Amino acid sequence: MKALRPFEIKGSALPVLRVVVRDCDPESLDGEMSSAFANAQPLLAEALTVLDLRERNGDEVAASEIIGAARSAGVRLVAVLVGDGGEQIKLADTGLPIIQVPLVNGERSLAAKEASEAARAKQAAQNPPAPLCLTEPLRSGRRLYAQGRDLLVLAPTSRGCELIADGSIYAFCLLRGRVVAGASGDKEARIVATRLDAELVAIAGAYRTLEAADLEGLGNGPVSVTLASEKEEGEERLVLRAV
Amino acid sequence: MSKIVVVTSGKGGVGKTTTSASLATGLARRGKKTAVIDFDIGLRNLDLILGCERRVVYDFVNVIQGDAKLSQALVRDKHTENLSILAASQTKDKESLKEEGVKAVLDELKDMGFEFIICDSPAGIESGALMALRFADEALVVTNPEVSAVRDADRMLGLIEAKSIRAEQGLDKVKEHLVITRYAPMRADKGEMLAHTDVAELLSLPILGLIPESEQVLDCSNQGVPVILANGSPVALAYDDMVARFLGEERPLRFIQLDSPPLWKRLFGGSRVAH
Repeated sequence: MKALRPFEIKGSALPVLRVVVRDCDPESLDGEMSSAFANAQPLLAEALTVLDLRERNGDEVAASEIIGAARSAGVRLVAVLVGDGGEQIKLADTGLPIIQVPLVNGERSLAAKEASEAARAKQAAQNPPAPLCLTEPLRSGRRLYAQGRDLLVLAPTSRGCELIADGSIYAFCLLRGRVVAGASGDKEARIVATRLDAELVAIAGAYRTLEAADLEGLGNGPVSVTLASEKEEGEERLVLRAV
Repeated sequence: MSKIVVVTSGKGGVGKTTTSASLATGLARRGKKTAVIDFDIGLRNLDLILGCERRVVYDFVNVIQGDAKLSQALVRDKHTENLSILAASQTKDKESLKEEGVKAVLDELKDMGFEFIICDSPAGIESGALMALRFADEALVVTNPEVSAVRDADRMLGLIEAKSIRAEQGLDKVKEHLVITRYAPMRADKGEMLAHTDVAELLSLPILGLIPESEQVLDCSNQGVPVILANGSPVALAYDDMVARFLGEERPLRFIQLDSPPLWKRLFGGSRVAH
C-alpha cells in the first residue's frame, strides 16, 4: 500500500456566512450591527464570515470603518467580498484577503430587488410608456392588449375582436368589436373614436353594450366614452358623447 | 420562385373549391405550372369539380404517410396543360395531416418546378384549415355578400395573421385577397344582400374577384368542368378577371351594376327589373 503523501492540495466549499452590507448611516452602524449580531449568537461567534460589500450603492461610510465595526461586534471576518476593482485599492490596508466576485443579475437579495423595482415603477409613473399602435386591421377573434399603456388605433377593427388597454383607447378609424379601457381599474381612462361602432365598451369594469339605436343619436362623427359617477346613487355609468 | 396560395373562407359552401379549381385552371392556361391540393381530408370534392375523380389512385395522405410517391399521386388535368391535382383522401381523417408531412410535400412540389401551389382549404377553423394556411405566401379569402360569411372570413383572416408560418416567424405578412362569390347586383341594390363595397369595407381588403351568382356554376360542377372554362359566361369572365388581377393586371370590376354589358343582359335580361 502506498504511504499517504504529507501534502495534498484539494478544492473545497466550506460553509461560510456572508454579511451583506447595504447603505448605512455611520452614526447608527455600530449599534445596528451589534444588535443584529447579538440576536444571531451563538451561531455567528463560531462561524467564519465574509463581509459582502457588493450591494452598497454609496460609500458614505469607509469600508475600513465597517470592518472595524464588524470586528468589534465579535464577527470572525476572514475576507471581504467586493464587486469591482475600485474598492480593492481602498481596502488594501485592512489586512483581510479581498475576493472579487462581480454581482450577477438576479443574485441581489429580495429586499434590494424590491427597492429597485419600486424605483423603476416611480420612474415609469413619471415617463408613461408610449402608446401601443395598431396599424393593421384587427380581425374577428383576435385580441390586442396594451398592457400598462394607451392604445392608438390606426387601422379598422372588426366585429368580434377585443381591444384592451390599461390606459385609454384612441381610434382614428372605424372602431368595432369589444373595447375595454382602464382594464386594471383606471377610472380616468376614456375611449375616443372618430367613428364608433363597437358592440361593447367598458371602462374600469363598468361596461355597456351598444345597439344601433344607442349610436344613432350620436351622429356619424367622433364620440367619447367616459366613466361618470351618479352623485345621488353613488353608481357609475358610462357616458357616450358626440365630441 | 414558387408561391403557395391558400383558398379559404371559414364558412362552408361559399365557393372555395370552385374558386380553387378556376384559379388553378386560369393560372395553368396562362402558362404557369400549377398544382392544386385538396386539404379537405375525408370530404374530397376538388377531383369532382375538375372531372378527374376516376383517375385518382393515390392521395395526399398516402404521400404524407409514405405509401406512394408524389409523382404517382399527382393527377394531370385533362382539360388543361400545366395543371396537376393532388386529391384528398376520402377515408382518412383530418388529423392525418401532420405539419412535417405537409411541408415535405410542398417542398417537393417546389422542387418539381411548380410556380403556383394552390391549397384548397376545408371549411371551419380546425386542423385541416390551419394546415392549409400554414405555409401560405398569399391567401384568397372567399366570401358571400352575407353577414355570417363575412364574419367567418374575417375570423379566417385573423387566423392567417396569427397562425401562418409567415406570421409566426415575423416574415412579410401573407398577402391577402378578397373574392366575393354569388353576387347578385339586383339584390344588393334592393338591400337584400351586402353590396360588394360594404364587404370590402368590412374586411378592409381590396376585391380580387367579384363572381356573379349563376346557375352555370352548378352545371359545370356536375359536369366536372371548372367554371372558368364555360366560354363567354359571366362567371367565367369574372374568374378570368380574378386570375388576371392575381397576376398583377389592372382590370375594372364587372357585373356590379344593373345596367350591365349586353351579354349579361342577354342571359339574365328576362328576369331583371329596370334600374
